[in-house]
Amino acid sequence: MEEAAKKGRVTPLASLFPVEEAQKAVRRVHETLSEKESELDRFRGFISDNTNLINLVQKLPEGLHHNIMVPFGKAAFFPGRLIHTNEFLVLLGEGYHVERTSKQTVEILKRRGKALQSQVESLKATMQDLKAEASFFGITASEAAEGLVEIREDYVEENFTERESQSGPPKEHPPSFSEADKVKVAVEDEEYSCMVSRLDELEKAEYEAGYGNETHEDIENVAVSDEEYARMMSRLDELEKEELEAEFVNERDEDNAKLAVNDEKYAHMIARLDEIEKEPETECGNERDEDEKIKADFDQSSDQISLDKINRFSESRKLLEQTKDKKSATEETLDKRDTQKDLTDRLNCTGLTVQSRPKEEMSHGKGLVHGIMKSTPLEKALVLPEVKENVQAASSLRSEAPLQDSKPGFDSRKAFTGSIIERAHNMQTSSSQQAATSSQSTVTQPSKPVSRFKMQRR
Amino acid sequence: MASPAALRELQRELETKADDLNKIQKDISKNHQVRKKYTIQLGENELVLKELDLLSEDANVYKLIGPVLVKQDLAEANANVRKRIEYMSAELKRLDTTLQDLEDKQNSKRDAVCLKGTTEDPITPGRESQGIVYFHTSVRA
Repeated sequence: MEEAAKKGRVTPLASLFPVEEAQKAVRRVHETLSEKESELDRFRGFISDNTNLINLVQKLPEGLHHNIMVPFGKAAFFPGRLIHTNEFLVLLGEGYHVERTSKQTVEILKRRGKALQSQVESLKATMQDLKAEASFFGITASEAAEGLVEIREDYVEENFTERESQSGPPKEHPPSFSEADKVKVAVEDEEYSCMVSRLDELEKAEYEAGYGNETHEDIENVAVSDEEYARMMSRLDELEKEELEAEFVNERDEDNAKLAVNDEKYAHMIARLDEIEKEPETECGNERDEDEKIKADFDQSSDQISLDKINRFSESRKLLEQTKDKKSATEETLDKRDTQKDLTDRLNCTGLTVQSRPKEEMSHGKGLVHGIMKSTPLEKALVLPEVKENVQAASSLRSEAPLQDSKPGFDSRKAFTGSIIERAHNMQTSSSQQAATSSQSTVTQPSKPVSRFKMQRR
Repeated sequence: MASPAALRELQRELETKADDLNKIQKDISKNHQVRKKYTIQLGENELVLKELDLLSEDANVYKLIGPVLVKQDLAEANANVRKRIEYMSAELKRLDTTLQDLEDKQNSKRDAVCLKGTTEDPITPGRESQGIVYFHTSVRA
């Protein structure tokens, strides 16, 4: 949509999967399927025979002898008597017979029945697979026949920053809410997915770097990837900003201020977690003491958080209900998704137990994450209905991370806390400005333990 | 213009190669059948062994040899069944290696034939290409 100049390859599906061949494959699979079905029928016959035999064997010892018609040769019978009604010669296989009583025979037969059942189960499983294969072939055949076309385009990454600035302005004229929402959601989703993939790459690089090299290199790598990460975050911020611009025409200042407050706090919390993750990465997890110190500090901050919690919670609740548009919710979810996913990725990477620390936040966050993780692979359209639930959770999450006092005039566009480090500090700068670099990470809140590490890093 | 004699020679070569390939394919299918038989027997023997293990010491075991049901010792029966199982597993392994060899040979032969077929194609689009087509279908089947 945005990236116009791409080298694309259009391949008709028919060329990849010729129609006749696909149909032949379907037929072949059907044949094997029918074979398996006949085998299944045979097995079912065996099982029924087995059950009948069990019943007979159980019934015979009821009398001392039975009067029967004994088969004689191929076509004759003669009347006779069945004696020793509790003695059975059971064929075990390979010509081996064994003398058993009725009860023992029944046991043997039951074991055979179980073996048969397991075979039937495995056969059914194979049949399922074959059916799936057949359906796939069928679909491919029909698609190829319809002339479906596969389009491949290269992923262009170099002009990333250019795209950021370019696609910024064009998005400021939404004709109507719903249309704009959908368009923006789609556009954002695309960019978001690009950015997420980029983030994943960066994280992987960091992770590998963290466990392969010495500390200095790590720090460098981390710093480098931080910049890229920061760039992407800033890009996301711009996107949200534009969206919010469309919505918050009237209610901006008040709501934004308070929203911003909560967002900031949340941002701080996330930033904190980020640092914690990054530091052990660089140190290869040797210096756990430092980690624990960090964690202890964070604990303190979370205690502070809990104090403010009650106040903020009700405020933010009200605010978010007021400003509950699908758009903002989408955006928030996206933010959450982004940061949460990022978080969990990082956390998983480093294997830290930071998750246990901010229990309240993360328990909520985790719940969110699970919901969000599920939604990510799904159609983005589904985000919208989910958004409403998440908004509530989001509000609680934000309230639980109240880190600082409100900055009046804060732009709610900056609600996105993805650009973890810069965001928190951008509040202090002009509200209309979107944070771009991490250079503005000057902390003016010395009361928070967060600042110490931030300054260290920058 | 390619001489008809040379053409016929090439044709004959192609046919011999195709025959070889067919033979190998038959061997492979025979191998598969024998393997199947052995596998089934092996499974049966394992079942018998399991049942024999569950028997008490004084149970009477009989073996059907032809039309005769012969009484056997439980220990003896156990030993016999175990021996059979070992023998059959060894046989299966041997068959596996033979199968692998045959498949390799088949692949190499197939490549050679294909090569031959393509080189002949531009010369005469007639019988050679037909032969190749025929060959391809047989291989796929």
